[in-house]
Amino acid sequence: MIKKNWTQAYKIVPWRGQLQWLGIMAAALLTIILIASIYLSISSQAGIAGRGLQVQQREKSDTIESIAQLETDLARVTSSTEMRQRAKKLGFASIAPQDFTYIIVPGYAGRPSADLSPHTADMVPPPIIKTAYTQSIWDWMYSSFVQPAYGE
Amino acid sequence: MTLPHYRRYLAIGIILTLAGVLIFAQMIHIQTSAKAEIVTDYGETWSYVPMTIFPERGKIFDRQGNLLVGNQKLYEIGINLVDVDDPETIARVLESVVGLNYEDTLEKVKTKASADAAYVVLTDFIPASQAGQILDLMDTYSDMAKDPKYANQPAPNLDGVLLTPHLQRSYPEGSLASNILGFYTLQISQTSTTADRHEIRVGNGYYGVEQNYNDLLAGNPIDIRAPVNPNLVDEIPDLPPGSDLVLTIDREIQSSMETVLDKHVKSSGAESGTLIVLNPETGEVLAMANSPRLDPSHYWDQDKKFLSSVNYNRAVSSTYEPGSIFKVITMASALDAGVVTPDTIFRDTGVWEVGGYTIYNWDGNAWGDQTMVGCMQHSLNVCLSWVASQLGPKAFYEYLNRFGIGHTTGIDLANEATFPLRTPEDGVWSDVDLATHSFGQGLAVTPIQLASAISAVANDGVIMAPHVLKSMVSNGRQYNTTPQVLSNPISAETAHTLTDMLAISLESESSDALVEGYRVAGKTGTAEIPTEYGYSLGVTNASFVGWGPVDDPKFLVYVWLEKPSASIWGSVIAAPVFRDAVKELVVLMNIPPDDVRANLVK
Repeated sequence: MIKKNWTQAYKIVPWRGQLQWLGIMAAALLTIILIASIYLSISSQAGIAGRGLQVQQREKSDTIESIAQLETDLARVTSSTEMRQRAKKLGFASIAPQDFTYIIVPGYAGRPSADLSPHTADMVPPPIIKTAYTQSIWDWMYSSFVQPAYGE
Repeated sequence: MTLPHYRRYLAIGIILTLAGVLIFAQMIHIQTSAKAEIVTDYGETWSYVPMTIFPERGKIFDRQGNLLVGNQKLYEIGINLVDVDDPETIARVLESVVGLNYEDTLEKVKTKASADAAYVVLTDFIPASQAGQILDLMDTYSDMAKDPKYANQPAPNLDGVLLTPHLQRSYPEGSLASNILGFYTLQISQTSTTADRHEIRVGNGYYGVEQNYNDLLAGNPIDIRAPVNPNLVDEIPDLPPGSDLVLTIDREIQSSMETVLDKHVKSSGAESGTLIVLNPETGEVLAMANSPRLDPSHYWDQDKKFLSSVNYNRAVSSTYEPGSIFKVITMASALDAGVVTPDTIFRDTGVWEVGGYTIYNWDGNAWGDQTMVGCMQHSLNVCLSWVASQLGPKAFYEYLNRFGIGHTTGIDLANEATFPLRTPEDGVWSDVDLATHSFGQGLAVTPIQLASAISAVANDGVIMAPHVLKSMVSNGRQYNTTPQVLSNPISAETAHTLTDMLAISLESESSDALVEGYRVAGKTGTAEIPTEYGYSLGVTNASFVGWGPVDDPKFLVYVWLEKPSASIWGSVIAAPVFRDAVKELVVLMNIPPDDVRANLVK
């Protein structure tokens, strides 16, 4: 039986092998650093956005409270008692029924009742954050690629 | 590789593999273990803060859009105990700005912070002006700390003081219409431990519109879990505010009616007064005045102001024996049934024997031959007892039922009361009840119940459901209410006939209720007050109900003065209230005098 003794025809120099390993390690390290950088960048942006959102929510609450306060202040200075006192100070007096002069104004149907509707189609605004920010990657891929493909 | 080396590598490999397998197995164990849920929940507890988001409570407006109930920004003042550095300054500032007791505040502020006591609420409902003063002082002290003078000594400071804003009900018109509006109580408290510090709100509407429409006004609060980790971006849902309500009442009319009522309650020495203005064509309540009234921004004074909760809005919650104004119902029933006409003659002998009892007139006299107009004009108990007997108990109580006596009107205000009406079907009813009921004694009604019933006479025989809600604004859309017919107890012809009879009777006796330039119809009432020992002597309920202009009624005014001391008679005490109210109403409602109106129509 002939014993086959395989041997390499040539051998790379050791420094070249070490260099290859070093390159592979560097590439791996670079990949890890790259992934970590992306992760840090995204998470810091998300963090900043989160904080910004909280600030905006607080500002929104402040604005709602301020609007309510201003409405109350306006109502106080135009209240029935206040207006009567102001009219009195300005020299106005209540008129007696017999002192009225009544005329017919064509087309005038009298003072209308309050219409407090802002006449907008829908007062509920759409969500501020896109759904993509809150979806899992699977849900995002499904809603972005699979659903459109099936025309759903 | 030599054998020893190989074995060592093999051993290390086995150990590392086993370690990996064990770690993996433990991971699976943790995930699938029964206790895993507890661990997950524990983690969730610390990762999220439970919060309830409350929408802004809806506002309330009068029919012209004037704000009657709104919201205002008030502050809670609390102390974060761990941050307190200068308790004496905190106590001194809060004493001078807010009026808190120095010693009490100092004691609270000096409380040692612990896991169970990290935050102490010192006071609440502080207006923005006072909160602003405290914030200014904080800035001043902050600047002082930078002064070199305080390099070697501590500067005064308000560290630890927290001002938390929140919305609270505001009443720009003060006590105006407080009996209709009711009030809203809001208590905000925060759990005091650092581990679980979140807001708890206990709020509710009481009385009137605030209670009746509490769910609409409150909107829909939602519970959320806010992540502690800011990286977990989560939007707090945008909640629409509670629905705004537009009422049927008119601010100017309400204000005028309260002024008129207050004046007459004072001059008559009455214990209380109630005045209702209805639009009989629609059932809209244009004004509903009570005297005394509560300032809803000091709702905690309710117990001091009123002996009983029914007194908060007597117009809907107090029942009383109305007396002679009830004769309107009796006469309307008899006319409608055809048992009498305005010209039917009744010979009044001054007494009416029934069921072993004797009925007398208010003056104890016999008035001789009287037409039905005369019976109403002189308010003869004997005559009306006879009229009821002609009608018979079956028909009489059937009419009362159609007029809604003994039932609530369903008005959209909280705590509407009713008093059960004794009828022949009840075991306790007797023949004398028919007679006493005919002139408004032995039964009890609320002012709104009787005003609503009598509005049929002012509205072609039709009772429109009394209501205070004109429209609702929700999500930017306004929904108007539609007037509803409550019942149709009498014919339009009967209504016109009776209106004319009552107008003539007022004119014939030159009543204090008459208003120059306007023809009005109405009826006075003076009722004895039942007690445990029979009817009281010399103490009455004085009432008046009237409407006008008689050819096209635009208003119905109901007046009730409780236990007046200046006079016991409704004609003396209550009729002038009606007159003064109508004088204001015709101006505020732009109703020209009858002759002017006739000319304008021509």
